[in-house]
This record gives sequence, C-alpha cells and structure tokens, in this order.
Amino acid sequence: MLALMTFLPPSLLQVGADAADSFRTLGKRSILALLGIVIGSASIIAVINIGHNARQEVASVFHNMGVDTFAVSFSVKQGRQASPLSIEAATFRKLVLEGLLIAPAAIVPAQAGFNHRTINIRLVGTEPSLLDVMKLSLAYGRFLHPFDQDENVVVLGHDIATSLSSDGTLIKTGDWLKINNYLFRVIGVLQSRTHSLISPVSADLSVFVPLQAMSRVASEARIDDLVARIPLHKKSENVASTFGEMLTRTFKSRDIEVVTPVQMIEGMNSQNRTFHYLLMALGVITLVGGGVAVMNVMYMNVSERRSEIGLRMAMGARRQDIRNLFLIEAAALSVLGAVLGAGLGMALAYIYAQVSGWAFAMAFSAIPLGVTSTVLVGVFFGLKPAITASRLTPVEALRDY
Amino acid sequence: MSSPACISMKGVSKSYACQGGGSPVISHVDFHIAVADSCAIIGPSGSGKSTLLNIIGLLDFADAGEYLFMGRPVTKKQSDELAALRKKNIGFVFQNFNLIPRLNVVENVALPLRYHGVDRGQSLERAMLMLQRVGMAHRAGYKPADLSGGQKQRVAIARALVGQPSLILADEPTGSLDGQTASEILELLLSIQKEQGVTLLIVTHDPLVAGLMRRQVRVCNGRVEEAGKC
Repeated sequence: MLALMTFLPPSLLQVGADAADSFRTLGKRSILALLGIVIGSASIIAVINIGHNARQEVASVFHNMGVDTFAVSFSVKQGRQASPLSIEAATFRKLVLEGLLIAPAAIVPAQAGFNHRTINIRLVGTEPSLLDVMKLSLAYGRFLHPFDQDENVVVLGHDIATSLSSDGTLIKTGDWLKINNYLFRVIGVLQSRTHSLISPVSADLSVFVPLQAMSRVASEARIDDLVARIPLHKKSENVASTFGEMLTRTFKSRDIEVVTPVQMIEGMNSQNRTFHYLLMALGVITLVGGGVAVMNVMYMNVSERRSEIGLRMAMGARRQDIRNLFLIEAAALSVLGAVLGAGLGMALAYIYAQVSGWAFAMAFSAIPLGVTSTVLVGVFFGLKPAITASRLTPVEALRDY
Repeated sequence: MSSPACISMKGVSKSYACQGGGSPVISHVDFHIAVADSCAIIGPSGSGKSTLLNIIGLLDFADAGEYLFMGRPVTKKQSDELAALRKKNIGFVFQNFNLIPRLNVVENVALPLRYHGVDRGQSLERAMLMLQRVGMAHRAGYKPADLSGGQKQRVAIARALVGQPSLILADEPTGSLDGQTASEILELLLSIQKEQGVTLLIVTHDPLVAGLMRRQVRVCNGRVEEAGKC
C-alpha cells in the first residue's frame, strides 16, 4: 500500500495546506501586493455597480414624467427682439398639432412674502395645460383655469408652500401672497414630485401664475420654455421634430431647440459610458499593477525559498508540485485581495450612490465578475515565478547551502 | 555470494561548463555499494565528493557512463521519474540541516510524506514515531530556531527516514556540530542503519567520521579509489 502511495501525487488538500503554510511567510511584504489587488478589484466592482445604479437612476428619472414628454427651449436670436408676452401667449394658444398637449412657461426669479416672511421663488407664468402636460397632482385647492387669465391667482409648489407655512402658520387656499409688490390669491398647492431632468420647470420650487398675470408682475418676462406631451399613439421623434419645425416657422425671432427624452437618455448614457470606461480603465490599470506586485512578491518568495525548493525536490517533489505550490500561493493572495476588494468596492458604490442621491442596488454581476477577473489576473502574474521555480534543477536550488 | 548492489556506477563522468570548454569534476568513476552497507566518501574540498553524491542521489545527471540504482539504469530517466525514485528510495541529510523555519519539528519531519500521498493526520503520526526514534518527540511542537545544532540534525535524520528509504545520503552530517554532538549523531545514524538495514553513504572530510563506516572511498583527481590507494 505504501509503495502504491509513493507514486501518487499530493492531493489538492495537501497542496493547499502547503500553500497555506508558506503563505504565512509572505507577511508584510505581501501587503503591498495585496493593496494593489484590493484597489483593482474594488474599482472594478464599484464601477460595475455604479454603472448599474446609474442606469437605474436614468430609468427612474423618466419614470415620473414618462418618455412621452419633451421640452423646447426658446432663445431670442441675436439682434432680434421677442414679441411681448401677451402676444406670444396668444400665438401659443393657436398652435395645434394633432392633440399634442402644450404648456408654455415664462420663468423669472421673484420674491414671495407671506405672514412677514419673504422667500426667493421661481415664478412660472404658464397655462392650465401644464397640469396635464407635467402630470402634476394637487395636495389641495385647484390648478390654474382658463378663466383665471385676468386674475391674480397662484398655485404653489410643495416646497414653497412648506417654506411659507413655517412658524406655525399653514398657508391655505384663499390666503394672499405678495409677489413683487402684487397680491396674489392662493388657489392651490401641488403635491411633491421628483424633478425630471427634461423639464425646465421644477414643480416643488415654483409658484405658478397665469401668463397674463405674469406680464403684470414682470414686464420683462418672455416665454423661454415649453413643455409638451405626445399622445400615446404617436412616435416621439416624429412629433417632436414636426412640432419643432412648426415653432421655427411661427417664431422667426427665436432659436428653437427640442430636447426629447430619447436624446436625454442617450446623452446621460453616453456620459455614464464615458465615466464607466474611465473608471474601468483605472480599475484595470490598478489591477494590472496589483498583478505585477504579486509577481514581484512571488519572485522574491521564490528567490528566498530556493533552498526549500531544492529540499522538496530532493524529497521527491515533481516540477508540477513546485509550480502548483507557488501558483496556489499567488492564487491565495489574489483571492484574499479579491474578497477584500469586493467589500471595499461595494462600500464605494454605496457611498457614491448616497452622495449622488441615487437608490443603491447591488448589481448581480458585479461580485462574480470582479472577483473572477482579480483572481485570474493574480494567477496570470503568479504563473511566471511559479514556472521559474519549477524549472530549477535540484542541484541549482540546493547550491545555496 | 555477494550482496546485491544498491549503487553501481561504471565509467561515470561529469564536467561543468566553463570558459574555454568543460571542466571535468569526476572522470570514469567505477563505484559500487552493496545494499545495507555503510560507506564514507572522503577527499579534500573541491575534489568532486558532492558532485558524486548528487549523481548518486539522482539530483544531478552524469555526462557519460552507466549508473544502475537498485539494479535499474537511471542515466536516461526523465526528471519526474527521478523524483519518484528519490521519493521512494532516498533520504537526504544535509550539513546545514535544511529545516523549514516556519514549520515546527513534527511538520518538518512529516513534510516528505506529503509527496507520498499520505494524509496530514497520518503523516503527523508517522513523524511522531520517527521523532521518538531519534529522541526528539519532546520537541515536536518547537520551531527549528529553538533547537540546538545536534537537535536539528536529529530532526533532519528523522525527516530523512520517515519515508522508509533504502538509502541514506548524508553530506557532511556532522560538519556543523561539536565533537560530542557529532559522535552522538553518527552513533544514531549507524544504529538506524543496522536496525533498519538501510544503505548509508556519508560524505565527509573527517577521517574519524569515515573510520566509523564499514568502507571508505577517497575521491582523488576526479577518480574514486578505495581509501589508502590514492
């Protein structure tokens, strides 16, 4: 039985135990190599997870308003003058494109006062259609109505209402709000809603007044933005471009720029991709650096344990036993680095999500991909020193004695 | 009837490459050792003793000649085949002990059994038995750094014997030890040799050590002669 056993190679468990024994000797020297591996692994795992969270964020940004909404910005052409607000408002009301819901917006900064309290606001002159176009909901009261055009009435965004309601006095419908020395009657307060990147109007931070009323409060106000919503059966690209052409023909003094959700998503995805590739490149470079550090540590290890290699060969270790011994040590170093890196990478991704105000979700592929790539890099760079060790002859290895 | 040969060499030569061609270290060596015999290889430094020991121990190749190890030709064997022969048949004892510092005594002794496919528990049991034999069981958990030179060499002898080899090759086993300790180690080696019937081959430059072996051969000018003939 013993004779048979002598011809058997050492089991994987024994090779592992051998590697674990000698791994202890790497000590502080391995910390540098480990650091490179940990940072590389963490970068890759963080990048994959941040990319995943970014995609989710883009999806959630458009979830509220839907991808059927698009925005148009109007800027006055150089050397031209825009028509007065009241004239442009009348022109807008005449624009019809197969049931397309349109809401113009003239936005100016202003100050609102209520109950001896004054705050800065974004005053938005608009049409009643904005409620449907932006899918706004009211907390109480009502939104603007066509009959309100000549009235000094306001609808408050959620945050504005909250700010004005502090000091124990709750603002309610029927209260009077002072805006740029004009008194406006509060007719409604909106429910809070997440700001959509595509919309020029941040509902929570705005105070909405009829366009006619806006011209009284701020004579310099012009319609600079427009929000539109496409009927469900229409394709956004065609409708948006047709509408853009119609606006260009109608408003000759203005430069028209249509921004669709698809363009926005593409822009954001492109930005994310650039960021993703940049971080991925950094991760790969760091990982390769870590791999080179592993190689250096393993070369030093081989050099310092040259006589041990000779001793093991004298005991009957084959070349492949020596190669496996050092390869498993490199793999053990890489696995340890990969596991620590996985924890660090996830922590970084979590911190990034918190700082960015994103929801954190773990990407399914992040840890398997990160850990596997790290271990492969470590083993790849550990292979050369291991082969070098296995190619020593017993006499060469023992010559140090 | 003579005993079967453990080692049989005929016309074995070895030279090392150097500037201007090869430099012969041993030349046309004829050398035989019977199974269970004890033999000392003596000679001045640089005479080729260690080269001869390396070839005998299958750690190095002869350039020319025929070498039969346990009756089998080994001159043209591949490195893995030689490793298997070393594992099964040869135990090495080195002048500087060659104990692995990070392993404790019993782990050092059990190390060769890893290459025999013996599991860790059984290896440690067998190592403990061998440590008892060399009188070192009480130091099983110690690290080599905590042992004296003589104790280290006892552990190295236990390690050489744990795989139950038929040949012990000892390169200057007492070279790093004081006189008293050296004689204890030699006594141990010889008692094990007689008890277990292993072949013992010692390289030494010390005539007193050589005198304790049944045979003495001298390496002189790259040739091997029975002692006294050179």
